Amino acid sequence: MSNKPFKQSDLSFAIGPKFQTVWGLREAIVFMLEGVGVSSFFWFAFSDNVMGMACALTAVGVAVALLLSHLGRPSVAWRAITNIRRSWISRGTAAIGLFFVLAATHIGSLVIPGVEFVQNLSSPLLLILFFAGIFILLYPGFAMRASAGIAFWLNPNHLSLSFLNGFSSGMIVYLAVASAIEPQETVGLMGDLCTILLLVTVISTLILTHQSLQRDGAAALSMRTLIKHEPVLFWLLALGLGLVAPLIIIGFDIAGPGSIALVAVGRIIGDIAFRYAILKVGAFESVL
Amino acid sequence: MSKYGMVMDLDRCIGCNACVIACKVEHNTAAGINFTKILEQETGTYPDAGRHFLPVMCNHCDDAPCIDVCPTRATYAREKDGIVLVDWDKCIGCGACVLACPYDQRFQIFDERTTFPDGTDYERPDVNRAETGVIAKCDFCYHRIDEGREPACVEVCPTKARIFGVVKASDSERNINSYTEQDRTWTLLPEKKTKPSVYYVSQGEPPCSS
Repeated sequence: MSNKPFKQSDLSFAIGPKFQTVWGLREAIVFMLEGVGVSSFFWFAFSDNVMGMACALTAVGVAVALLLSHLGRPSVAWRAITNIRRSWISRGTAAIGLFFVLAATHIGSLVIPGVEFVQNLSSPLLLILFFAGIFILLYPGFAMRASAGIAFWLNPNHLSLSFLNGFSSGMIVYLAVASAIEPQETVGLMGDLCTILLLVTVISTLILTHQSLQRDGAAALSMRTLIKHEPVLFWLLALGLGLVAPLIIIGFDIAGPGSIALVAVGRIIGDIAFRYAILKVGAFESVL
Repeated sequence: MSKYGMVMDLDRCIGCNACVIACKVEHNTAAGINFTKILEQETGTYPDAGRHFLPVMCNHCDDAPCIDVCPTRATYAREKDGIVLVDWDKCIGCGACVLACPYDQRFQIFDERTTFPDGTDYERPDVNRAETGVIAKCDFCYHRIDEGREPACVEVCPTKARIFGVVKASDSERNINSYTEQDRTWTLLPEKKTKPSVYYVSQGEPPCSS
């Protein structure tokens, strides 16, 4: 019999709204890795960078491993795809599995000589891969919106923010790698696209903030908590380091090739911080 | 299908927590895990101060969000009586249902040990216990219902504040129509549209925000 102290749930008899503790930093990292992995995979695929694609796929693999460690019973994790008809978690799990297999097949077809039948399938395979990837980018938003107990997460803006955060983070990671390899050719047009994405992300975040504050109960409480009690996580890391700094540096083209790597690191930290912040402040509605 | 439900008569509840203890004994839940709780709120100031008790538990909803969100179909409503159960063989412990339940009445088992850390045997070894990692919750004591008995929390309640029976049954002796059809009956968080099977009645204003 173990002698370690019992984990007591001190708040179980407390009245008033209660913050969820099921999803936290680990899940935020999972969502970030999925987003960055999928998004950067596409960019590397368009530029035929096999090593980049392999690294992006590794990021998705690490996300899957982290996701398994989050489960109470990881040994039966395969069951997570048995309710695709009704569960967004199930659909997301299936999409990640599909993406992983197809992406690995695509990389294999590029590096293993004589795999003609796979190369012939390459276009439809890439199309399926593309749609699976889009779904994975949206998936954290779907998973949050399926959590009916957490009013703050029901806001539809979480869908667009999941997509925008993942897509822009992956793009900046690609930009950092590409600018190190071919500095002159990449930063121009992609930098502009990146700036637009970051700008839209900032606007979506502001809309989410405004809409949540307009609501009653737990949703407004979550947003107020985010604004007032999470200054480092929300204001400094998520908005400052993750959005505004990259926006200024890339938007005004004041970055050298080396500094884009630093921007990418800041963007990833900001991406994790944003996702963690919105998970952390998710609150159940009060019944008393 | 006969749909089981429960009525909490708040005018009768004295906040003794006997139901909480009976539930723990019946299910041998781990420390910190309570499938039912009595929330307590103090109102007013002396000499008009008051205490309100609100027993809460799984609402065994007709439109249970926990069923839809479960990626493994581990959570299901029993066909014959609508009791929402968790199949622990299928549960992977992802926690999605915990976040889907608006009433915060689902619990992940992190520690299999019960309130007897020295290994003292438990009174009901015949009742299945949840393994570490899975999600557990009130099951309306379906094992007792199947034997023709009432849930443990109902049986133990000294003031008969908990009334268990069939909802909207015309010919059942155990129906709770007389309670659920009253104007003074309400459910928790009706705006969530989950159609709970746990009803509350009281003469005064509902103590809950909704």
